[in-house]
Amino acid sequence: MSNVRTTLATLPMSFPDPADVVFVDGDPSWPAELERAIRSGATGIVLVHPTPVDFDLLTADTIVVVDSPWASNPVNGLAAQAFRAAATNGARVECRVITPPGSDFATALLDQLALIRAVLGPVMKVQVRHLSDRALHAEGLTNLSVAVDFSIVCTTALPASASLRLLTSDGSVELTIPSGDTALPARLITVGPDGAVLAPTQYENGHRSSLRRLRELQATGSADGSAELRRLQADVVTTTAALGDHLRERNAVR
Amino acid sequence: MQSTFGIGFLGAGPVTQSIHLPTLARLGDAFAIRHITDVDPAVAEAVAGRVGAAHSTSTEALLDDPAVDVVAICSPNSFHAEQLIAACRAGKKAVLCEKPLAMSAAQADAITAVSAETGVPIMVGAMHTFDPGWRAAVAHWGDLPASSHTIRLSVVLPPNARFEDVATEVLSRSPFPAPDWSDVEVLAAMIHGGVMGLAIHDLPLIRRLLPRYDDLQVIDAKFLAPFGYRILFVAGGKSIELHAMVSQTWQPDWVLEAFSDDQVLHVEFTPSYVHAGSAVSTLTTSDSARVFGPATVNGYEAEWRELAAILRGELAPPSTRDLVDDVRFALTVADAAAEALRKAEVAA
Repeated sequence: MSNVRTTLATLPMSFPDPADVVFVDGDPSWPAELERAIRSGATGIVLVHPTPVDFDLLTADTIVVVDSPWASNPVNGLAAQAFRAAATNGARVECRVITPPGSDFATALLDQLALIRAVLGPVMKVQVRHLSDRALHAEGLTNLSVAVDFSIVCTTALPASASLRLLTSDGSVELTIPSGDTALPARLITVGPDGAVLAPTQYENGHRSSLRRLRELQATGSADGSAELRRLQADVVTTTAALGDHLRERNAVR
Repeated sequence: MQSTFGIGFLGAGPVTQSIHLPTLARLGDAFAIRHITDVDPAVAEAVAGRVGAAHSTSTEALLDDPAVDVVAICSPNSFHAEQLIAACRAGKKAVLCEKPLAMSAAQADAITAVSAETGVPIMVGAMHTFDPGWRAAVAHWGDLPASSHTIRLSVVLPPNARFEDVATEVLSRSPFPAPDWSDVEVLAAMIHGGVMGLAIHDLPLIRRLLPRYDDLQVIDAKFLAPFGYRILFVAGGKSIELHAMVSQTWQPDWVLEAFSDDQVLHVEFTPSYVHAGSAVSTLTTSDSARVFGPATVNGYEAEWRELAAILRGELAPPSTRDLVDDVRFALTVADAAAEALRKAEVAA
């Protein structure tokens, strides 16, 4: 959370009064915290890295942006163009995440769904193929019938990261997003018959990108402030449906 | 002590032409190609003519040739075991068999028996097992075989011709098949063939990371058109993903990874056919990364150099039992993947 708050300092003109922005930590109690923030009259809220828990949407004028570790990266505007152009009929996308041991797989899967939503569209269904203490493998399908192979692998040897790869008939689109806690840029590479193109790198972390989005939504004056929460709610439902039985089984064994 | 050994090739297709002949051209101090056999007499004659060797169309003719010390089996997979057994019984000094060593458990048993009976050194041309970049990682990976929990192999390749054509000028190239994708048995055969023809390069490496595989269970197996697969299985308490895709891309990407809680192995192999040096392996922990390779010698050159050392008595031959266990592991994966695909297709 402190990383997110300190990012405000990089937007002194957009947010001259930092107190105007309320940050809600995405730990499992976030729905109650979010409700409190909304009822307090906050005009802009950043929900940071939410865990997948059930929640009710509140009708209010408050604008809420969801700061998700991979989906908030500023590369995703360019990445969406590249992946959507390449995702022809029958396409498959690999979505791989490296995370430290002990990470919550439900949250990690929710983060992946948010990323796929950002670059390709919402994932309508996920089926978990294998789940252990250290890895998860699952398969999903987007609303445009793009198959997605999800994997989550635990290690401390590598920094957290997310990577996407879509193999085409004559090349690929590959995206690697580093941990959003620094401004280390994502790498988006499109390979085609004429060569490989690295998209311009953007040294802006996902937190700052989320804050800019909040500012832009506030500036429009007529933005749908709950749109990101509705999308989050749909991904929470998909995550819970995919993992619910598996997590219950594992907890029962323990 | 004999210093130069005569080689006879059973099969003169693209692998012999574009991999072994250019490799052996570098090793003239150790080997001389004496005999080329192929079912197509024109191919046998043309390839033999390039290297000044005798040529024939029968296994017997090659095995009867006293100039042949070492038999290199580069025929279609289904002939490997039969020809290997014949070569051992013919009293040759060694046999180098292209992967896979066998295509059934019964063939594997027969190879074990002939090895015990004749004592002829057997090598399998699984070039990645000899790759200096891989071997350096093995020497430094510590407890990774015990501690790794997730293994992933991904092979993305252009059609072989992209590399064959810069390794040599190939005769007699077979067309890429156009099977009936709607037939589940065709798909099952394709995924079986994918394991025994492509994943086979690295399954011995993966087996080095597995304490056991008698509990192997395929969780998911898919054939990916035009040619590829995704197979997910668990064995020895680890999850293993095998992925491959052959497309029209120009960019090869051949990577084996193994993850433990505190160490990651990442191996990038060079494509087959071209002499692009060894793999580059990286062993990473949270505070360091050690890189091994690239060496100028690739796995093919290393395997022939190792065979020369064995023939000169400088090195013990590999354990036939290990080689047979490698192919049993591959057959277990291939059979289980094909069966999992059948079940999934029926269920769908």
